[in-house]
Amino acid sequence: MADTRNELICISCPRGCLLKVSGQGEALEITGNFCNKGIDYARQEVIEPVRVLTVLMRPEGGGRPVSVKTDRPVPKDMLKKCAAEIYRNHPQLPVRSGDVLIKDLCGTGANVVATATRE
Amino acid sequence: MRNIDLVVIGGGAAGMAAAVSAYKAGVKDILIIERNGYLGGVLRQCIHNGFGLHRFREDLTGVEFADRYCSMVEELQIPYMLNTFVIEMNENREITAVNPDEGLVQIKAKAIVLAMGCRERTRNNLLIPGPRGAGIITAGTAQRYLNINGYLPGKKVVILGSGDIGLIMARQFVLEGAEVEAVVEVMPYSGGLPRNMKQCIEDFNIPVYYNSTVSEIRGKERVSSVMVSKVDADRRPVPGTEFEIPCDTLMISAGLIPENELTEQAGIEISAGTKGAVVTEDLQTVKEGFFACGNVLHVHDLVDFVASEAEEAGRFAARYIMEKEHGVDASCESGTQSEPAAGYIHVKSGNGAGPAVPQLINRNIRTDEVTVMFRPRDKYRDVTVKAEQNGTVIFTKKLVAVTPGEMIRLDIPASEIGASDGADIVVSLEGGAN
Repeated sequence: MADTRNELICISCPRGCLLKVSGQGEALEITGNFCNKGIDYARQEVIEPVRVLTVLMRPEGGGRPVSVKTDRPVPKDMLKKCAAEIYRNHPQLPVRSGDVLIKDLCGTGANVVATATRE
Repeated sequence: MRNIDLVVIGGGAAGMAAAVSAYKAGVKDILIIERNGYLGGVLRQCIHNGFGLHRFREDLTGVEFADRYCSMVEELQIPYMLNTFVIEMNENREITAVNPDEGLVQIKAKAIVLAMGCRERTRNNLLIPGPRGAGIITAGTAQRYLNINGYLPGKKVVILGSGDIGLIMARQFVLEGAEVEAVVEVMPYSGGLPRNMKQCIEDFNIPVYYNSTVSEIRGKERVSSVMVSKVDADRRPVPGTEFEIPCDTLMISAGLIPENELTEQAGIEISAGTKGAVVTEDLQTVKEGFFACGNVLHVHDLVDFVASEAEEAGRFAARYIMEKEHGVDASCESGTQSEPAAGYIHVKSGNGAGPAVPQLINRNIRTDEVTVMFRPRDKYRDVTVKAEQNGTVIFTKKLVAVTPGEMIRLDIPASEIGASDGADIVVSLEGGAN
């Protein structure tokens, strides 16, 4: 599956290293990384790209939205599906930052966690 | 008139960080003045992650980052006034503010930290012709409508400019079910961070038109389409190259301008380059007792850098207040801040370097190093960044790639700076343009 020669922008931090990836599988060779996060990112990116999802949930009964995030990255291909699933849910207030609002989102193993407090 | 040791204007990341560090440095009589109904500033509408990697070594959302500083403010019981708008500030450090509870509030401060942040360039700044219907909005305002108020302000969007907020909003609009038709950027490269181009634009296959601009907005009551044109070397639209993109919203993400009306009111000199106050290495303006930090001083890339700069400003402001109080005149060797006997070293921008902060360095430097920050004027690869004084290189740094979207920081040891003759320091770049 892995590309034999590729350039990737590392998204692990704002530095945004330009990673050069060559080879396959165990022999995957990665250069251009400033830190080890780049290696992990590139390995994951050529197998299955994953992203942390940050969106809003609308509380039951209306009112200001509650911001949420997945507590671990989910497959990039599933971002829209995961977002749609989150939108189908409406948390009951109060919500505290850190509360788990949805468990095992779409079978990804990731939980949806509130990142804001709403009384 | 109330007397307060340290007034911090603005309760965003910069204001809170400055207040917390001033408190820890020994100044307890502090007041933060915030015009919104909450602390945290723009971070409250930044629901995406990528914040705090430097400051907290954690990947936080903007809201979580704000909450970290809010907790510190609450824990130290630093007073703050919400819904309070400063309408006047004079050079004697007297502030007039209004709020719904107290009406007119007048305060005299020993020192003031300016932390008002910045605002966005609008359609009017960009001079785009066309009708003035609904659907023309800046990226930060769209972000506020969506993330604070819960309203999605468009369904079919064209984004002008590739600043980070616009890129972040492109992704969020797509996830909310809207269509993002295009990003139109006047420069040949993105104005945002590479990671945001990757995870917000490429990930969602959004077309990007470089060397292009929106030359006309169409639609009477509401935007119905925009015309996109190629630009010439002077960044002016080239007639005949235009094409139409149907849309209901034009979102503008074309840069930020420090919000310095109050600064100007107090007679503080503003740099034409950074659009922020002219400051010395202790983040003090040339008007004594006024300090500036964060995006009101110069527009930063990351809130992490805003916070660390603000923490320094808070410490310097605290030092200033305590030295005044104990009769140690901080400026006894150099005269007053406004009339330094020893004078300043000016920091100038040479080849490839944009306007630098600080613009001035006291000749009696009281820190171990001086951090000089500036943006490159263009994209370069394999560059050597230099600081020179009297034709002698006093500091160099090699960088693989630089872009105007990322600030360059030089931490120059004070011992390397020749203070004796007060010659200018010139920062410059040498390397292959990209």
